[in-house]
Amino acid sequence: MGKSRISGRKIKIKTMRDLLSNKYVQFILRIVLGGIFIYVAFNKMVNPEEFAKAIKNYEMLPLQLINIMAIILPYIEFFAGLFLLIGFYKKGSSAIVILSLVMFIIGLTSAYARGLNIDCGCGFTSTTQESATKTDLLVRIFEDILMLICAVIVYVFSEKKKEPEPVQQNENQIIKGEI
Amino acid sequence: MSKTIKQIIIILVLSVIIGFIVNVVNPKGIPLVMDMKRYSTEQSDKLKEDFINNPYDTSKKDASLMQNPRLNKEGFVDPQNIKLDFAKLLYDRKALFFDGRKPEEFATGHIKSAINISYVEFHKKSKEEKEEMFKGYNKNGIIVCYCDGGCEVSIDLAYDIAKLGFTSMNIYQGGYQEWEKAGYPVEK
Repeated sequence: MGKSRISGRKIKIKTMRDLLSNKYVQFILRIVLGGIFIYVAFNKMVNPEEFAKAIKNYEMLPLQLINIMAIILPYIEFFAGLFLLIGFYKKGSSAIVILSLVMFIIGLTSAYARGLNIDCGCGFTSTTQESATKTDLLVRIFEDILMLICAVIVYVFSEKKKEPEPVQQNENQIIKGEI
Repeated sequence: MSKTIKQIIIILVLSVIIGFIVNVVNPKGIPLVMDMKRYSTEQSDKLKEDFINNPYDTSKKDASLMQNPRLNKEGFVDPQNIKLDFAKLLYDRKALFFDGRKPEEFATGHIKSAINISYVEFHKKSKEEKEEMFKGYNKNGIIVCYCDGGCEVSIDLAYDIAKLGFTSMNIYQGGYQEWEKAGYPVEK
């Protein structure tokens, strides 16, 4: 009874792992994440000055560092998004996407907690000078958490670990004289 | 070094190189360090002192707060950042207060007798429309722009109005939140 329940759970976990590492699921997740990152990065690249102001609104970075961040960050997002999209450096690009999203979530949550009225420069609908209300911030935090989950799935399951092939193992064992 | 870290480093280095190159080529490129003048309130105490030593009735329409307004490279007088105490002093002297937030935010509460000039709407207008809008105002009169606090619209609004030839633009970055907290006059 107990054994069958455990093996049932193992099968479920295996099925879930198979589903998440399925190449089509991975492909869709990469396309969605990569597309969003490229789109959002492009908005920031076009007008670095506005993006710098958006970073400044968080009041989390010293003024001296804001412009450098505004110059570099959109390109980090762009290349991470592009590489995810084309399936190149999947581990590295998804790790960068995860780190960026964690950073955005911390920034947004902190802005929400401090009651800052900001343009976060982070969402699909983000337009410069449109200050975000508290509800907008919550929506953006939720968006980012969803994307973070997708990015973690890509990171963890993008490269399927090869299970040892039983036939080969047997051959090895035969060679070693264990069988 | 693990494969993931190597890939991360390569992406970061690539982004830094391309980012800086594009910024140099891009006509909208920005300096490496932000213009501190835009945010610094260092001058506020000195401005307040000058103002107290040289009393000026903001309701008069023929004088300027500054003795010799100095034009910057772009041909307008830079707005000044002021702190709460100086903002209150100017308020008591009946300086004009412009609230740069959206009308719905303005409606939830604003500095008493402030005028709502929503920057979101204002920055879409042409230069002629902006000039028409400010036709009746004294270009040397003291104007204080503010928003919620910790937002950019007060700064952008002040710069846009200064570009129309207004010489005594001030930015009160503490904004409505700080003003209300201090218990100063508000309207809801």
